[in-house]
This record gives sequence, structure tokens and C-alpha cells, in this order.
Amino acid sequence: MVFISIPLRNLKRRLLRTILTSFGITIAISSFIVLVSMSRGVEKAWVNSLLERGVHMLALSREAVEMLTAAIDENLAMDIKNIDGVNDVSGELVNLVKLENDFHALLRGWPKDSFLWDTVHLKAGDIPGPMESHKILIGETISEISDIKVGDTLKIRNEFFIVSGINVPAGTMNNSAIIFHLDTLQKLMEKERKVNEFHLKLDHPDNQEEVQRVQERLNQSLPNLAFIMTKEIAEKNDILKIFRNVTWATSLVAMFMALFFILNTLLMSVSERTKEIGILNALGWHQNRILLMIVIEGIIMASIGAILGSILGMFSLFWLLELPKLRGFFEPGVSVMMYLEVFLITLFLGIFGSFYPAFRAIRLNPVDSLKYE
Amino acid sequence: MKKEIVSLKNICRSFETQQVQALNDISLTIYQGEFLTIIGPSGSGKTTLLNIMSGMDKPSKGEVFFNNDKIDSYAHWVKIRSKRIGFVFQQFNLLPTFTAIENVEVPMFGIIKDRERRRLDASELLHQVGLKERLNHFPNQLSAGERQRVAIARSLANSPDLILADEPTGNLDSQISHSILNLLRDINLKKNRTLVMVTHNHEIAELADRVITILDGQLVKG
Repeated sequence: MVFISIPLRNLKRRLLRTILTSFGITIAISSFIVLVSMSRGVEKAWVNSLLERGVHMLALSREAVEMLTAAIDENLAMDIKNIDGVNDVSGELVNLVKLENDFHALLRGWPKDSFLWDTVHLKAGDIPGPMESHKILIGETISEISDIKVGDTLKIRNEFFIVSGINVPAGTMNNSAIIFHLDTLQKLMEKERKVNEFHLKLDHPDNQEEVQRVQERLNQSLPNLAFIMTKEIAEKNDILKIFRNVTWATSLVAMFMALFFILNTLLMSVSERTKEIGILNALGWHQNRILLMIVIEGIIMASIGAILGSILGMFSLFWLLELPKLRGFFEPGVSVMMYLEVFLITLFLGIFGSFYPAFRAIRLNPVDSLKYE
Repeated sequence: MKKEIVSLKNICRSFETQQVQALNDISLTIYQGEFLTIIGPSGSGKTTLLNIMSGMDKPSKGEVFFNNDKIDSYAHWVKIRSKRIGFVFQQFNLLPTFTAIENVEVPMFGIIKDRERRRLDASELLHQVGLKERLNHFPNQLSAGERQRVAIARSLANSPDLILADEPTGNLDSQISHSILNLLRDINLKKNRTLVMVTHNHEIAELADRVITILDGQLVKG
């Protein structure tokens, strides 16, 4: 017999209770994986959608908390382009709408001469010509879900648009986007001459000092705009910050519930085994060994929950990814880092959930414990 | 000159909550290889005395010496209980989810590192108490007499100098009691282990080399 078989045997003894506790931990861990992956997935999808278009810096309104509600004068593009170190600039109007089949799509409006059109990867059809104001490009995901091909029409906000081409970008978010000429989308959204943001290309994006100097020049010339490097955009976005905080708060509640499951199970188990703990004491087991035995029981339950929770979390995540309403809005953010986090949470749950019951066990008076029936 | 195993000096034990003086100024020396019985009526303090001898209970006053060393720390008592003292209880106190051999192995954790060695030693001890056919039986699959034999085998794990037996035949019929007493006596004689046994049965007490009597927490004879 090896030492580990003792806590295992104790858990096996009340198998149903062990299973139920591990199930509670499974739910907590899977909730954590789904929530955190979704939060990171949205950030990842957004940042990737910018990076694949070669955008080095974004200019956003300082006043607007939420980017989609921002309204910036499109003519500021000229002022930005005149700043030394800026290679090119493009305004963009973005909005989120529900299509007739309940699918949510991102609408993007680009100026006719924008460098952003050069980043399009067509699967079929063509980019709308400068005079084709009622033609649009749709992402591959929209084409698949709505079964729309080149030449078909798509009704958006009571207006019909002809699909000119199907875009297959690498990023998930752009796959769910519909791209318009900027002026067409401005009319459709009743935001004439307005954009939400500017996309900037820099002359020397890899030279940190030069980037900083350009940023300072931009801030001085256009104080109402915030200039943020693409890689930092997710970190600095207020909406994502709120989303991230809500995610962590919800995960924390789930974790606390799991902690109490373990605590409750082991407290019951320790009080049921009062006499046995007394026997172990009488046989010369050191308090530390008894403590270790109970902590291992907690860690085993937490580990079972973590393994099953990781599997369930992954399945749930991929199931959510396939839901039409969510498809295209996040990329699974599962990483080695996340598994490391799950591992640390498991240890935390196992140790802290079992520590108090273990402490109670070693505080038992051996003489009284032996009398316990 | 006889070697001292345990020496108790002016031991008092009172339970404040119950306002009871369980032991009152008891001094006693137990020698290597001795078979000593402690006799007295229920509630006289026999078990309390045994618990103090093993460090399971702390005296309110007085000192306990083991092999002439004064023992007063928890760590020291744990060390002594795990290596030098074996316990046999009236209720057997076997762990119900462990087989006979596993129950005997339990005290060996932390003392004998090698798993195979633990297994072999436990098996050998069960052979010695006549349970070679019952190694893998759980306590609920054994008779009362067999359970007590497992408990005796367990008390011999780690080759202790001293075996403390608290009414070891209290739950057994006379025939089985007789065989258990013979087994304990054999261990005492053949292995030269000191045996201290608590009983309220005079007939059993008389089998010992020395009998001490406790009445109302005081040593009245011995």
C-alpha cells in the first residue's frame, strides 16, 4: 500500500459525494474556461482583424467610451496624414446589425481610395467599383450561414445591396463583416461625413523611438483623438476592460462555490472520521501526515474537477463558436497560459478548500476522538 | 539491574469541566520485559493512566519518562508512539476500509520507507498471530477474535518496546479471550516486549508478573 491510496480510499468510500463535489468543481472550471476564453477570444479576434490589415495605429475619439457610438469628422484624415511619420490613413465607420436570419454582422465602411481595400482576399467576385455604391463585399461566414453567393442581394436596414465579392480574411471577425463604400454606409446609418476611427500606417512601425515621436506629434496636433498602437488596443479599450472584469467576477463566484463544495465535503468527511483520525494519532501518525492526507483528498477532488472541467469547457467553447449569433465574434482564446491558470486554480481550490477541515482534524484530541462513535 | 521503560512521577490528571480528579499523585515505574496489569473498577482512572503513558493525554501535574528521557513535547511523543509503543484497544479500532494487512501497514508509514518491506513485515506479523489466510480480508469480514489479532499484529508493527492494551478481551467471549491472552503473553515472553494491560477482571490480572490496583485515581496496591 502506498500513501496516496489512503486519501483515494477515503474518497472512494463516499463515492457519490465525491462525484457530486467533483461535478461542482467541473462546472466551475468549465465556466471559467468558457468565460475567460470568450473574453480573450473577442480581444484576439479584434486585434487580429486589425493586424491582418497592416494597421499599426488606431485613432479613436477620446470622449467616446464605446467605439461604435463615436462620431469623428472624416476630414481629420487629411490632418493625420500630414503628420511626419504617418505613411497612410483610412477612416472607418463600423456598426453592428442583425440580419434577417438573426445573424449578427459587422458593417464596415471604407473610403473608396482606402488602403484597406488592398487587404481584401477574395474567394469569388470583385471589389465594388468606385461608382458601384450599392455593391458590397461579404465575409465567408456570412456567405455560408446565409447561403448568399456573388450576384445575390442582401437586405440591410430596408435597403437591398448586391454582393459583389466574397472575402476570406484570416481573422474570424472579418469573416463576419460586410464591407461598404464609406459614403454608402454613412447614409445607411445616418452618419454623414462621420467615421468611428482612423487606421494609420506608419513609416517605421518597428522603431519604438520613432513610433513614440509620431505619437507625440499626433497627440499635439489632434488633442481630441487618442492614438493607440494596434497591439495595445485591447488592453486600453474600456468596453473590453469592463467585459474582462465581469468575466473575472463571474469566474470568481464560480470558484468560490467550488471552494465551498470542497470545504463542505471534507468537513463532513472529517467529522465522520473523527474516530479514525484518533486511531491514526494513537498509532503515532504525525499531525502533518494527517493534514497531508486530507489536503491530498481536496487536491484529488479539485484535479478531477479540473480535468473534466477543462474537457467540458473546451467542448462548450467550440459549441458556442458554432452558434450563428456568436460565430465570427471571437476566436478561441485557449492557450498554455490558460491551462497554467487552471492548474493554479486547482491547487488553490484543493489546498484552501481542504485546509480548514484538515486543521480541524489535527486539532482533535486523540483521547476524545477514540471515544467518538 | 532491571531497565526502566516508563516512569511516571507524581502524576495528577483533573478534568476541570467535569470537576473530576481522574488521577491523583501516581508514581509508577515499568521495567523492560515486564507484564503488568492495571486493575480497578470502571471510572477508576485505568485508561487515563494508560493514555498518559502513551502521551495521548497530558497530565495536569507530574512527569513522564520514557527510557529515562523526560517527554514533554508533542513531537517527541509522536516519535515514541510511532516507534516504541504499540496499542491494543478493547474496540479493536481497525480502519474499516483497509484490509487486515493494510491495517497492519498503517503505523509503518513514515517509519519504513520501502513499500515491499512494509508489505512483507505486515504479512509476517499476521502470520505470527495466526491470520495468514486472512491477509486481504476487511475488518467486517473477520470475527471479533480475528479482528483483535489484527490489532495485536498492528501493535507489533515497528517492533515497539512497550505494548499498551486497554481491556483487550473486553469484547470477546471467554474462549477467544483465553487465546488472545496467550498470544499477548507469548509476545511478552518470546519477544521480550513489555506489556501493560488494563483490565477489570481479577482472573486475567493475576496472569501478570505484577498487578497494580487503582481506586478513585489513586494507586492502592502495586
